Amino acid sequence: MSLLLTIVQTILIGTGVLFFLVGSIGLLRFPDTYTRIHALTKADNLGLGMLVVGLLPFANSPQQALKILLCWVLILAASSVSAYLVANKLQNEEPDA
Amino acid sequence: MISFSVDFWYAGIGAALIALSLLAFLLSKRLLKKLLAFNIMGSGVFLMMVGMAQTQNDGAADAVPQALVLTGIVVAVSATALALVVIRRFALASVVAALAAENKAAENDAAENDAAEKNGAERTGSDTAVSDTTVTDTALTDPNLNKNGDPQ
Amino acid sequence: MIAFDILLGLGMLLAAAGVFWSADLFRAIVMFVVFGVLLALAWLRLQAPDLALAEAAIGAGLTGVLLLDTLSVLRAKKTAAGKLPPVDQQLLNTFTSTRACAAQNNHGKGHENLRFLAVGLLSLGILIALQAALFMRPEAAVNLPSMVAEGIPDAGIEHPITAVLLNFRSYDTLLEVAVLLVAVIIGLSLRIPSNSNEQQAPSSALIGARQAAYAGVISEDGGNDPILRNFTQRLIPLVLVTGGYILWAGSTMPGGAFQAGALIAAAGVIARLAGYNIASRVDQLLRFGLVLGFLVFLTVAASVMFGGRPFLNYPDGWAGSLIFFIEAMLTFSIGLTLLSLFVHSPGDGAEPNAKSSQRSVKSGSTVGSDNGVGNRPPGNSGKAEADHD
Repeated sequence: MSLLLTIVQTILIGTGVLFFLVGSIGLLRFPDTYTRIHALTKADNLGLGMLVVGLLPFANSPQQALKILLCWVLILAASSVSAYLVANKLQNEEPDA
Repeated sequence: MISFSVDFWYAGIGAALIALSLLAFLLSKRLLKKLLAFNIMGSGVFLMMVGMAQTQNDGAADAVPQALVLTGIVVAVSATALALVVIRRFALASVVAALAAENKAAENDAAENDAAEKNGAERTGSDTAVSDTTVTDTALTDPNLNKNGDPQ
Repeated sequence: MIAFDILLGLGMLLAAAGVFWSADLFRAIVMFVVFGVLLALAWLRLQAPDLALAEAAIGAGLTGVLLLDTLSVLRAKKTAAGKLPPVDQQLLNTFTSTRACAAQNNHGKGHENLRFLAVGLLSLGILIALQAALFMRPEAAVNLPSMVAEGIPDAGIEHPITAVLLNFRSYDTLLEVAVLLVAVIIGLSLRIPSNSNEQQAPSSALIGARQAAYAGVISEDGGNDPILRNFTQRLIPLVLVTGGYILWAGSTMPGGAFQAGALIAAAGVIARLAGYNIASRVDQLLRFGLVLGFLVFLTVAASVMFGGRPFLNYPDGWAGSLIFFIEAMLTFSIGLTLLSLFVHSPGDGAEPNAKSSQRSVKSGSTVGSDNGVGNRPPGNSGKAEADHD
């Protein structure tokens, strides 16, 4: 049981890290701001979710698990709002783009 | 001593950071960059302090240098903020100076004089080396600025 | 973990080099923030979670915002995109080219090379001397950790770093708070004397114009943006509660007044960036708050002398509560100090007219000729121009 749990956790965390890696590559390689935001927010949010799910069984206490979940919610909110702000700013500057 | 110790490694990194940022501090001509270099130099010193102290204690966490570095970080940020205030004030003063030169030139109403003054104004702007060209751009195009932007 | 340490250390060096390397200041500041985040990780590896907290909040967060804000004021226009030199250039080349574009008054090439050589040798010498000092370090003369561990039971507080800060070495902390106070007083007195009661204080057009300058950080109409406003309204209470928690946690685990103060300042900065001009509305209260921490600290430190105790020597049994009381006041003052150094900088609302007219010229009379800046929404510039009629 604990072996199975470890394997599942490893897969989840590994995939999460992979998504972060892909998002970062996208940030570096994509040609314009819109696609970069797209790569960063989508891939990273998925990776973040997987990391959080993978880390939850490690929590020693319910409080710690709640803290991890709070981090998750905050990062999601912050990244979506900042992505919106960047895109909105761009939209205002270049309405045609 | 040859075996890898985390504290010793970061102390070495701190030393390298100090040397690197000294290079940048002395070579850079832009104030903002100098400020960044100075900040990183401070971080290098902090790393050396904590790393050295903990190396001497065989890797045990040492609260005294950590506490001192904690106050150091806060002092560093307030010093940085103060430096930024001074830089802003400096840039603004150069705008005002450029404007004064511009107004004087307009009064003189002589073409050559005008050009010379403009060059003077530009030099004032670029000497500050913080505000690229915008400050002088504005100064040369905006007659309203003096009325409102001039500190009394 | 050794591989991680090596990667992290080299990453820090690279990030620092990136700061110095970039010709574009915006890029340099972003690299500086990256450096701050890496440094926070390094503090964790050095078993210093307090420093990691402070570095993440202050070094990476607050300083980055301060720098970006100043940059936006200095440029007062959107950061020009690209035109960066290839990163793989030689260090020498980059430095000279950067300088060539930064300072128009080029001296002779030989002069520059000589200068570079001298500075390079100096830095190399310092690097070698520092590394030699590290390798030839003496044995520790006193064992500080064990002395701290011995003193903890009487300190009235369990967390060693808080104990060092506010009990064993409270002199240092008291004077440090005094330094902060001096810094903020200088900062406040360097404000441009704003004719602040002059009708057009922070009108919405002005705030819009200011925020457009936040090079990509914030949207143009941030003050009226519903998403930003709602997010800020929910975020700020959370940040303040976290600050309170960190202050409270400081007595038993990593945390304390400085980290909590940084969080409070961060809440204020977020509010300011989202268009809430809190600090300017409560000027008198702000001034009182700035000195409160130092005043309370000094009062407690001096009043124990009435009981015949030395300066800064807490009475038996009272140390814990007094320390917490001082810390709470310090948190408040440190937060306000950092915030007001940000909010009251020259160029930020203090001399709104200069900024708005600058922008209006850019957007109005020089449309098209001023690449990219000319085509901002017309409503904005119209309001800004009306502003100083």
